[in-house]
Amino acid sequence: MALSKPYKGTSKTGLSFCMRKWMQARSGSIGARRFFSFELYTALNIPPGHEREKARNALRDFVSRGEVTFRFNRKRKRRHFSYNHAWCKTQKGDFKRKIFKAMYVLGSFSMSDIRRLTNINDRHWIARIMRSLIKNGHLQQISRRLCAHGSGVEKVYRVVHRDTFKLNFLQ
Amino acid sequence: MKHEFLETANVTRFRSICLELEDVTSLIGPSLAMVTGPAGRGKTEAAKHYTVNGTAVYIPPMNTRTPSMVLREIAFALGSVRPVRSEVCLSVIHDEIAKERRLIFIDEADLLPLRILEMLRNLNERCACPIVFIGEEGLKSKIAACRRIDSRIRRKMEFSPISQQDIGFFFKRCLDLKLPAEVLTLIHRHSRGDWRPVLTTAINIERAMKASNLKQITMELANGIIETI
Repeated sequence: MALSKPYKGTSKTGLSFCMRKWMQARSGSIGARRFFSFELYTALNIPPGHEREKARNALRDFVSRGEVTFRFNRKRKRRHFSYNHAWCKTQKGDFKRKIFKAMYVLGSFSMSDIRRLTNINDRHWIARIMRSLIKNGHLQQISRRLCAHGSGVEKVYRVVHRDTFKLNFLQ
Repeated sequence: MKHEFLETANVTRFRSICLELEDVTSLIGPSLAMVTGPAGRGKTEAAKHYTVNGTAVYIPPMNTRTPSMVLREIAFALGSVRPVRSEVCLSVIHDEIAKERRLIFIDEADLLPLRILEMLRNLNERCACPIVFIGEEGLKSKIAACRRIDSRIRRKMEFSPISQQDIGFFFKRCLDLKLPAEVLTLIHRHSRGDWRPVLTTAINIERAMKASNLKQITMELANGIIETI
């Protein structure tokens, strides 16, 4: 399948994006989904030489992260690739999302409550996130209470508008 | 004191129920569950912890809600929209559950009127969304009185009173303190199966030990603290 807009060898080209799109578009039986590397290069109009070397490296990255698998075709003496449709990007920012969800679920909370529910021990990081939320008006301090260990106080906050908070941070 | 969530026997059982309901195999048969127990046993805390660390949604208690308000709340928790019409709410819930099977916790369900519980049963049948009712002792009789709901409860769980082992584990994990057996018994008797008195006692014990620069807790100190509470 040839893409409508062929790949052009400019810097920051979106080469991986084009390759992924082409590989994902191959449908049908497993035999029909499989492809040789030259088929990919031809379909994307990648000229031989330096450009093709870049594409080869990109394909190697696809294989190393499990997005593309291959098996050796003995008859053709080449690698026969296939796209792994079950592959998905590793979700980043999972801890941050947990913190936001804990704030949303609790409604009013102190930092120790967030640490308990999320099992995150880095209180400085939580404090930094909370500071930015306070600055942007999503959280509001409502009171102070004694820390459980007796020395010092901890601030109690509340989510100012729960619905807006959910729409902004938990979508 | 360290702030940690403890994996007690109750929490483990609670989690196994939630995992069973979230699993697609629970599509065969009913997917409602009921978790009961007196206040202070950690039901809500376990539900909140499960919600934060997973994809489940937690509906906070509010006993003035009407059935349509509950529907809107669930639609907002799942799909981030709050449609006015109930039909639209149902379709939002249906779509979201079809995309991803997510557990719904209804806290303080014992305070909800029966028509809301009936509506949630209908919702469970229509959208196949797994629902866990959490409440105190009253919830059991309320559900038992309504045969239609009672027969559809897949799993029932009672949060049992906290054990001496749980208290010992709590002191070890949160205060790095190994309690003597008699002190453990004393605190257990004082707590009457509830976490909150244990927490209050632990806070006071830690403060007293810091003030007196003690390394071990004695029976006299524990007695004195419990008497002052």
